[in-house]
Amino acid sequence: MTEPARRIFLGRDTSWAERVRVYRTDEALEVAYINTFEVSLRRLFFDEVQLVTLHRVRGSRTLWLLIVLSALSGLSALAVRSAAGFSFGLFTLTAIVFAWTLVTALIRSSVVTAYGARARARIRFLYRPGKARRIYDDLCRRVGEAQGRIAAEAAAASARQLEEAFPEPPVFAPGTAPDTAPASAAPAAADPPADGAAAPPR
Amino acid sequence: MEVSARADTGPACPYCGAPLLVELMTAGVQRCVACTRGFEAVPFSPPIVRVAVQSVAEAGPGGAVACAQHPGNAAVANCSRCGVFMCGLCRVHIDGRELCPACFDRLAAEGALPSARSRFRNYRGLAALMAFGGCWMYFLGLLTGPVTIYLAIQAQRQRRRLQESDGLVAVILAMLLGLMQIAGGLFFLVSLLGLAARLVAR
Repeated sequence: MTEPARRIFLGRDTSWAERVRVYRTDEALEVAYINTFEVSLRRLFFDEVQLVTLHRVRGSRTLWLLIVLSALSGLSALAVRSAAGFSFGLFTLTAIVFAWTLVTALIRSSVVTAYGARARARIRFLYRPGKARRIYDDLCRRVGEAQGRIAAEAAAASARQLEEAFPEPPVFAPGTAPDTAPASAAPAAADPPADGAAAPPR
Repeated sequence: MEVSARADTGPACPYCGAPLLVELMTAGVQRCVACTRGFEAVPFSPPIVRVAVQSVAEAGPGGAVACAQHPGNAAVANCSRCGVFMCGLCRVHIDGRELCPACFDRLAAEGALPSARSRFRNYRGLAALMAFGGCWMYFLGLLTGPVTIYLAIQAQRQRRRLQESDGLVAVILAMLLGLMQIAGGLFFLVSLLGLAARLVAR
């Protein structure tokens, strides 16, 4: 029984509907769809990847959520302004959420996506565009290597099949071809005289 | 057989999801025809792997045995579980074993093939849920604490089995919170006993 390949965590793509974690093994990307009780894996093998993309996008849904949260915090701070300490705490929370909203609105997240015929792997990087670029380049390199290796193996196999189907004709040295050399001269040419034996006449 | 609801049907625009023709694309910045937004992409053409299958007629009467599923194909191996003859199309090589499709289906359904498993219990998520949920019910800490620690240990075993590179911090945090729950539960129990003793003393 072989050990499963080591899984390197690449990143996640969390939306409101589902949580996704993406791992890399030696031969595939593994996409883990996570719910509370179960993890469901799908593999996207490097040799079946058709397209790898890198694009940048703003998380509009997160933005709306943060706007709603900051509005709720602000309204709560207004509602309890008679209690000075509590109101100040809520106001601070509002300021933090609003600052986070602003940062999220300004920063665009980088998204790396690999598409196969049957599966798709998407990784979202909010604050690290450099890492997204590195993973994009690494992914393209690995996919190219895997598909190039398989194509080379297939080419070698087809060449081997061609050789077996149509073997090359034998190549003879000049004068040694069986139909040109005289039958009486062949043994003398093949077996040189031993020491002390009489040399053939010139 | 369970059919996944996620039907990823090949390359698509990362913004709008419109299908893309990879054959017409070149590596570099692309622009979607549907939404006119730009993104970086590298297209690939996955090699088509063809399995070389020898027919019984080619192998000759004494040269090969027929495959159990494909009588016209020459068998190349026996199933390591049931011993049936199988051709190159039927042979499944997994976890160091050669299996026929029927045995592969049965062993995969039983979970006896580690490489073919695609569903796991989410021990890490369950441990996190118990760890944070249990903190709100510290009076039940003597119950929730051991459960949290058990789930964290299972999550660590799963991490090792799947050779994951992440998740260690979450597991350690869950264990610490489990210990804290036990301490909270003990504190609550001691307080309760002290209160009971004071009531009895009166």
